Amino acid sequence: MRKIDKSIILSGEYKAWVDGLNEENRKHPDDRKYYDDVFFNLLYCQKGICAYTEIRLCSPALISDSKWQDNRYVKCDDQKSRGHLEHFNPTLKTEKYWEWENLFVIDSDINTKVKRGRKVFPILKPDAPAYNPDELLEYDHETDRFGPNPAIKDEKKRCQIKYMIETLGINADFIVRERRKSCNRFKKNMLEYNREEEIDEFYTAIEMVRKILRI
Amino acid sequence: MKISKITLNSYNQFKDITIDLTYPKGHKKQGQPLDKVCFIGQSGTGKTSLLRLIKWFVSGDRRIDEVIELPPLPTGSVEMEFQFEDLTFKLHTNEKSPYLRPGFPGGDTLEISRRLIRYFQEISPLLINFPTEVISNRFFKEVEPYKEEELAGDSVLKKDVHPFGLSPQIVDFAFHEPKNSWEYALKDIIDYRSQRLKRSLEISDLKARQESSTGETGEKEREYKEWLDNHPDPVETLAEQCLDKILGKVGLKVKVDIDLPSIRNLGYIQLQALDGTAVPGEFWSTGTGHIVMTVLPLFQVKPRNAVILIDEPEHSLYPDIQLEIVDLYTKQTRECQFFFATHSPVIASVFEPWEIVELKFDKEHRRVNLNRFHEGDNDVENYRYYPQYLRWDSILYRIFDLKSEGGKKRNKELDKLAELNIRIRKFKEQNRLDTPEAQKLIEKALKLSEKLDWETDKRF
Repeated sequence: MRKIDKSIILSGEYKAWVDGLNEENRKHPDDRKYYDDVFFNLLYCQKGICAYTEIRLCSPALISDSKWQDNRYVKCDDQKSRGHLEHFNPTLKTEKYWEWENLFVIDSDINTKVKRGRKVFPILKPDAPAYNPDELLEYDHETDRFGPNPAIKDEKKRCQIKYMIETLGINADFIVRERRKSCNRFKKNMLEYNREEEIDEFYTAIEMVRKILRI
Repeated sequence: MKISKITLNSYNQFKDITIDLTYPKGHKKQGQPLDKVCFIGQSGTGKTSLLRLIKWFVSGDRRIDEVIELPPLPTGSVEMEFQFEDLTFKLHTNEKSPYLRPGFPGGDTLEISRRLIRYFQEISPLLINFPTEVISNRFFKEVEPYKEEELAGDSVLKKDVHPFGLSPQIVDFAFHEPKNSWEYALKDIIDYRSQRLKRSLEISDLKARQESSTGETGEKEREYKEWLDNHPDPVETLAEQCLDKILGKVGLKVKVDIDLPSIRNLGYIQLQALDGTAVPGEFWSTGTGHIVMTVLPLFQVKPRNAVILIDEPEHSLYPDIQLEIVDLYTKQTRECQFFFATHSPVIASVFEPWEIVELKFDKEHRRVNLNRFHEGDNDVENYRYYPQYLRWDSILYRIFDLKSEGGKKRNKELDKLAELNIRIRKFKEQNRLDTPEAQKLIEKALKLSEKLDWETDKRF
């Protein structure tokens, strides 16, 4: 949900491979040899959280710098992430399966039960250059749900935002539930205990709550 | 005897799964087999298969296969570990040989075998099985009524109401052969009623034939009264100590003052409404039938050290009764081990987290994996969620993996409420809450909140 910077490439070997395919305008092969490199490089850029909902997907240890050697990710079987590799625009999957700009790691249930092959509008694409969640979204801290920013006068744009909130699972029940717990914990800490804990998921919602409550 | 571990190396959709059925570290019963276990999981994950497997392992002694119809032999490789007193022993079967083979971890094998045999002979019943279909086997259909000609003389007492001679080891209410099980479970009631019927018929007979003196009839009547004083009616005991409390929730109670000669079936339990109106069996609700037909045998048999299997204890029961039924079952027994299989969050709410075994399909829906509710070692400290402490919706989320808090329409309306709240907040930030437009939004939001039963967080 918050803007994601995907310019840090730790899996150099994959990037050279996919750039080569694109230069030759070739269809991306059904080859999973760089799957882990792509998956964990994305998670690294996303700071271990779901690109759409900001729920935590893995421990920081799983994406620490020491995990990369010689431009490849070194996988350890006993550490797992509950994320799935996701194609933002599903129509690009056939020809450009490994296209870096179209890939994110997201919560597995959002991938399989919510987004699946739904049509997308680029308006909430987290790595788009013009993407700014503060301009597009507002947070209701009573229901712990996001909605389009009412300051947007363009009705069509607001409808697209609403559609994408649903498509990306931003207000999916199980996400809202976890987000509510995090936000309530943040509010209780700040307002009742006068202390601040380190936040490790749902950054956008908590930042918006901070602004709304001026804390 | 209790099961402490089940290892499913290969059985149906299970592969290389070990189910530890002991209390976790830090529990006062640490390392001992669980007193009760609750299998949960989607339909088809194998909850009932596991119950059948346990039934097969506990009842799989070939000597008793004349009495009960055994379930099909498992073709996979399965091992169960049992504990009784200070002994641990295993029974296992594999793909090459479907017969159960014992295994002992050490010690004098011969002596252990002797103790085991003695133990098995003493435990009665060894297993009680209540499958879901128990409800379709209404006992009053299964226990044969006595015939008119049997009313004369002693024949009613000679009726074979004890088909096992001794108590049975397996009391199975599966659809194959529930009759014997019902007769066993009801034997005290049948015995009592037979005796009572015989004695009252003797007196009637004396009076009718006028062959005896008034003194002889009076003596018989005194004897009968004395017998009644010394022999409490088991149905009255059943009503007072067990069934009436829970049946009262559905406006019923056990009818204790029945007209004995007129009943056709000595084991038949009659019910009546709280105002005394008789409620014939054919008018019992499915839930009422389920309560009577599961609680009654446990109360009558009073099993000790048995393994008890109950599939879908929630069957046709309203949530308030579901909440009490597991406790009601366990209270009727001593040192037994219960295995339940359920889809009900209310049933699951009465279990400790280590007593719940969740079966989950893998991604391809080909294999079933095991989910326990601890992270790391089996230690009470490592259990995050306690079903007994959770709200119903939390149980659905945390224990049953339900992903939504309501239907799709609720979600849509919640999105609408969020939008309204956001717009109202913007008015508030601009100090324009008293404008007609803002007031209209507030009215809408409050009305929608009511429809959604939404509790506004008042703290913040």
